Amino acid sequence: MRKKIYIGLCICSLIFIMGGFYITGSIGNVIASLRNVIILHQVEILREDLLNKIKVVQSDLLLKDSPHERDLNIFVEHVDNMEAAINGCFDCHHVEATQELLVNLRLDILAYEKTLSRIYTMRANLERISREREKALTDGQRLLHAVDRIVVTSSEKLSQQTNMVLADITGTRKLITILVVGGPILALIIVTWLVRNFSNSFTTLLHATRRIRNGDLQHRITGLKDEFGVLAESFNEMSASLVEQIHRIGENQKRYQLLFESAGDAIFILEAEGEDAGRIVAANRAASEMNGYTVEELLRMRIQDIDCQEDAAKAGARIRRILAGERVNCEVCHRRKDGTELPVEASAGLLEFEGRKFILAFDRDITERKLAEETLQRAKQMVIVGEMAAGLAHEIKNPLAGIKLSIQILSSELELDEENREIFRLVVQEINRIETLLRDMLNYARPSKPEFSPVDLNQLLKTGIKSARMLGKVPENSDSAFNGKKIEFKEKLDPALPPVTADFSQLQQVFLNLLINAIEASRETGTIMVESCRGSNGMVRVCITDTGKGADEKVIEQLFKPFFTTKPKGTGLGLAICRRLIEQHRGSIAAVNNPEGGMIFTIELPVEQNGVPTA
Amino acid sequence: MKGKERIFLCDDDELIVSMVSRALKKDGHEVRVKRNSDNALAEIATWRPDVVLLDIHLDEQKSGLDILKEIKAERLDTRVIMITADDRAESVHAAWQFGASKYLTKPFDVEELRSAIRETGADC
Repeated sequence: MRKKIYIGLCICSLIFIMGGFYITGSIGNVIASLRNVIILHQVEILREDLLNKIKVVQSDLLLKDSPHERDLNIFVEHVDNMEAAINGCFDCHHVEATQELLVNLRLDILAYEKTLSRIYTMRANLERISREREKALTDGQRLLHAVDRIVVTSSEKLSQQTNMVLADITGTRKLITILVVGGPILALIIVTWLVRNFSNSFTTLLHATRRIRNGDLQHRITGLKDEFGVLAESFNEMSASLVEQIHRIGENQKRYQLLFESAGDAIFILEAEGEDAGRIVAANRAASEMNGYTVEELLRMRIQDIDCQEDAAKAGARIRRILAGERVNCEVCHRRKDGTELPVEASAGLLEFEGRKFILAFDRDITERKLAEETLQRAKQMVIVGEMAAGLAHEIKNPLAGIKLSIQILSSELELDEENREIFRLVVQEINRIETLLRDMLNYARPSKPEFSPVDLNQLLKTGIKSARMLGKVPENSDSAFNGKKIEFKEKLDPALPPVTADFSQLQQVFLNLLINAIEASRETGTIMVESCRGSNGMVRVCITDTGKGADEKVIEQLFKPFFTTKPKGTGLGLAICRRLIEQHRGSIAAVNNPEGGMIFTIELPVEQNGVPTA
Repeated sequence: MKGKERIFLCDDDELIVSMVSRALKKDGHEVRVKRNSDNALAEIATWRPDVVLLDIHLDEQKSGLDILKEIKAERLDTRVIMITADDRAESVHAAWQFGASKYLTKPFDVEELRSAIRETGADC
């Protein structure tokens, strides 16, 4: 482009210079032509002067010897003037023909002068004088004709010359007009072309810049040449680089977004300073799912709002520690939107971004870990309890055996009255109670390992019901759970129930225990419903429902805990043992109040037992 | 079934020893007692009882199961009834393995003991 500009400017300059030169040359030529014309005019004047002077001499000659005759001196002066006039013609440069003509003319004039001289000098011969006079007049007339001819000829030439000069001037004027008008027009055209080239290129670049600014990064500049072409290429490279950079940034952003969103741990970004300290600035999906709030809801909350009361009170101190540069790792209790609580392991540190301080916090739901820890802890406790129970039972059983034997033997040997015999009987009864307690305690703390075999649950339940009924058919048994109650047993057993892999006697123990509990919980008359069906996740379900009084929620929570009992004579281990035995089968047992009155005990058992049963 | 039998009782619990021997003697059995494991096997070998009532946890030297093993190793012709508070399955299993005739877990009724003696005698 620069080259074009230079070339354009050079052409313009050249046009102006050449135009200038031409105009100057043309004006010079015109001036020279005019000068020639002027000279020709001067010559013409001189010739006219010669002609006049010859005419004066001729008239002097004609007036000779007349009353108006000129004075001789004047005549001589006129003749001298005529000679001076012809001599003056030789001052100019003439072409050879003209020169020759003039030379002849001067010779004729000189001859004419001689004739005149003779006329004025001859005195004697009048005739001759007259002849000479005639001759002189004739010569003079001839001279006049000759000069006149020259004058006519030169006048014609002068006229021609003048016409030519005028034509030249007209031509030059036209050309100058053309140059004066055409030069700037041409320069304007060249400049316009250059400017348009410039302007188009700039417009293309500007347009491209605007498109890039508006986000059209795929736009490329085409059709530009020279420096603009190079600029366009750089521009295109810049756009491509920009696209690549943005793509890379986008990829990175996507990657971090993905990381943020797909993280299993809840991620929060919190305000660290000011009145808003703790306000949630960003939260990921896991945070939303973990706490039961939508992300939008979380963004309107502070972290304290999802902390449990106790932890919310400590939040300020935690934020201050983080602001002091400490990385805080702690266990915090969160309260979900539905009010339930979940334990989380929080790890939080300071995050500085664009001059502002934030807290980056990761929360991990440790419910399962807590449960696992609790289960492990419970298992460990149970091992210890088992060992303790076994040790204790052994240590108690030995002296108890001595006491029992002693009482039995003494009571058989001694002659006792009725009152003392009753006391001995009560002592044995108490010893038996201690025995039962010890047995239950051992059963709970150290249950025997289940021996798995295929068990028909429906059959087992039927046997259980039969055994429970039999308890009611022993009227003299005042300890019987029935205690005179009229209980109706109902069955609703799924005939398609698959056999389960289980320990027959342990399940029998559990079902009988639950049935006896149900009888005990029943009022004077009642119904006990025994159901079996398929449960969720490939489990089988057994429900035992009574129509008794039911229980408070607080009591239900405690039901399966050891040594918790609502019965005056219970050891508080029956349901705890049931749970231990069911858990050994990888099943579950739960109790809820029956909406129609009484309670529902639900047992879920897996059909198959994989691997080793739990301890 | 033998009516009167020679019964050797080995238990470290004084009350059990005295009450069991008293009851068995009253039943007409001849009873000898021992409250530790010292020379127990020698005494059994010498006296040759019909029944040995053997506690498992005797003292630090030997357990009832050790003595049971020795009795069977010596091929002594006697029925061994274990009387113990140890109701662990492994102990019961070991006792059966070593040749015990009966396994009574404490606290047992005196009647249980009598019938155990009778039953084991009847099996012979």
